[in-house]
Amino acid sequence: MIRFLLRRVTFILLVLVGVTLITFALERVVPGDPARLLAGTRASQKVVNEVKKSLGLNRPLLSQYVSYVNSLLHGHLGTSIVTRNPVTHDLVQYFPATLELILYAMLFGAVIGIFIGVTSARHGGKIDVVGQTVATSSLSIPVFWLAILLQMFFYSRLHLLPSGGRLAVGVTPPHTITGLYTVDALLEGKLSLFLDALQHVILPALCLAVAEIGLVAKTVRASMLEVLGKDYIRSAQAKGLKSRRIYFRHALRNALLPVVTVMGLEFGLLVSGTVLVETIFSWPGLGSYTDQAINSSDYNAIMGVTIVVAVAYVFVNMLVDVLYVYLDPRVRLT
Amino acid sequence: MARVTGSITESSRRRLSTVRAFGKVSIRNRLALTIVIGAVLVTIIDLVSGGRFPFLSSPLTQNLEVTLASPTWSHLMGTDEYGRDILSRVLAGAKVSVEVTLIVVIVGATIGMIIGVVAGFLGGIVDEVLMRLTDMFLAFPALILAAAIAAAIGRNLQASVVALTVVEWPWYARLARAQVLSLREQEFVLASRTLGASTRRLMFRAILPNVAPTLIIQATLDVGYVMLSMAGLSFLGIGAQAPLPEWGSMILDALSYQPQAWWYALFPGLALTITAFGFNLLGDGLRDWLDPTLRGFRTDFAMGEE
Repeated sequence: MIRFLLRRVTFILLVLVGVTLITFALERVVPGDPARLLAGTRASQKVVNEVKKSLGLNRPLLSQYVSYVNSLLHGHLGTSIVTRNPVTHDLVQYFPATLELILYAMLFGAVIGIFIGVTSARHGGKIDVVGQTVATSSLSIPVFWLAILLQMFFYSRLHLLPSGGRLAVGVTPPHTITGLYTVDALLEGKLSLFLDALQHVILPALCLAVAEIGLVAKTVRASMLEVLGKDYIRSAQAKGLKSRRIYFRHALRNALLPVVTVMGLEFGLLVSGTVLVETIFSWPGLGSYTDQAINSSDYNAIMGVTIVVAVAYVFVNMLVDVLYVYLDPRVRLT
Repeated sequence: MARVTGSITESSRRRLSTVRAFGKVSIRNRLALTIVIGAVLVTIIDLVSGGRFPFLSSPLTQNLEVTLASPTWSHLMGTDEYGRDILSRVLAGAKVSVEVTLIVVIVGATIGMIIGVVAGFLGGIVDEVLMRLTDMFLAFPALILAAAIAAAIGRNLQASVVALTVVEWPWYARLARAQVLSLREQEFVLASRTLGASTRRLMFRAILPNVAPTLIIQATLDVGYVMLSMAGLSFLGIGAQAPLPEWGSMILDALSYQPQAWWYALFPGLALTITAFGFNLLGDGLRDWLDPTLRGFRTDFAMGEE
């Protein structure tokens, strides 16, 4: 176990160095000379050179990279030109809203996806065709388009769900404990506040979950079909167990293992999705922050989000790896 | 009732018959082919006619007398805020999407394949370096990295193509490498090595042709995903720029006129969904054809119940 963890940690460190190399390279190609920008367009070349020197832009690349990583390690991501706050500060502020959205999306995606996958594998035939069609369609729908349609239908037509935001206008949010409104509202014991927050999270989370539904459904279906062909299922059947029990107790448990692996991938999909969906639902999270940053060429903010998300992604995948080993004793620790 | 299949003879027989009688493809694959061929046809018509579809006004012609008109016989999908015909813009959007996606997938898969084959075949330090490079790129959620790259190098279609290719190749590199590792020790490779074939000949004559089919299936499965990513970048304002008719940027423009002008967002998105669906189905079909274990057969066990 120790050797396994050591290997993973070395690997992650390497990947993290890689991540900073890529973002460092990207910051070098950002249009516009930062020194020129700071000195003003009318400044003489001499002044620009001096600014360059004070920014350290005339130093060798390697030493620039070292100081870049150094400032990253201290949590400095620069200042956003839109909010005029340090990017780190912004990220901390917007993070809980996105986390709440992603958690609900994961929940919806897992529940609906597993249901479709199991039903497809269990019944076969026409039901399987329907299930697979739903799964494939869900991987073909652009989330931002679906968001507009759902909003049009559930808000403009049916007046059933709110159009956006985290809470109804004028409602005071719960005290920040976790930053997740639904959880905080429950912790405070305010049921109406919880329901309001829940109503607001349903549509955006459902949109985000769509691609995940297809992915999970396909994975579960394939692994169910594989597991059902195994000998121990035959034994269970020979023992005379009810088919329901065989499906859900014996087969599903093992068939769900690959879903754990898919979860790491899903995190990437969901984070990407928030950038496309949050703006439509005026959801005050990292996604709309990124969208805004892109629209106003706020490079510090864009790079800040990119780095933080990549680091989070790396850790989620590590967690998935470890979880997998824990769940499946057959996996060798190498 | 359910078919009892799953025996090896049965599935291989079915595979043969698929080759022999292409007309007997399943409804699912026929649908996939119809959509894909349709999208390609629209693209070809667009290229041949110089961007103007028969019986329709040009996708760029403005008519300020009929701005944001709902669908009628003269404008089957309505018009946008400049009175441009949405149907002809949706059709023209097919060209942009198909073109961009094919470039990204083909270039990405080729680069990835070469890197994967070289890494897997040479092994050792080369493998280590190339694969750590691959891991670096895979550490980012694809769309986020693509958006950061596109935002950094320029807001236009070319920048998005580069950005999407950069996030696309690592997947192929990994896949190709895995394939090579299992192929490397196969007898036919050992045989040609014994006969004195050069490393380059082994890599590109013996290994590459056997890696390609898997990668082609993966590429077909990826087309839908890349198409959606491209539209996503345009929707964020960093892909295609006005007035180029592109589905993602049309939906972005439509956002300001929701929910009144429902047709404006509906049709470009529908076109995108259907096209991506077609390519996804085609990819599934190709994969099932190669890997019969994933076909939806019911097992003996499933037959036993009820």
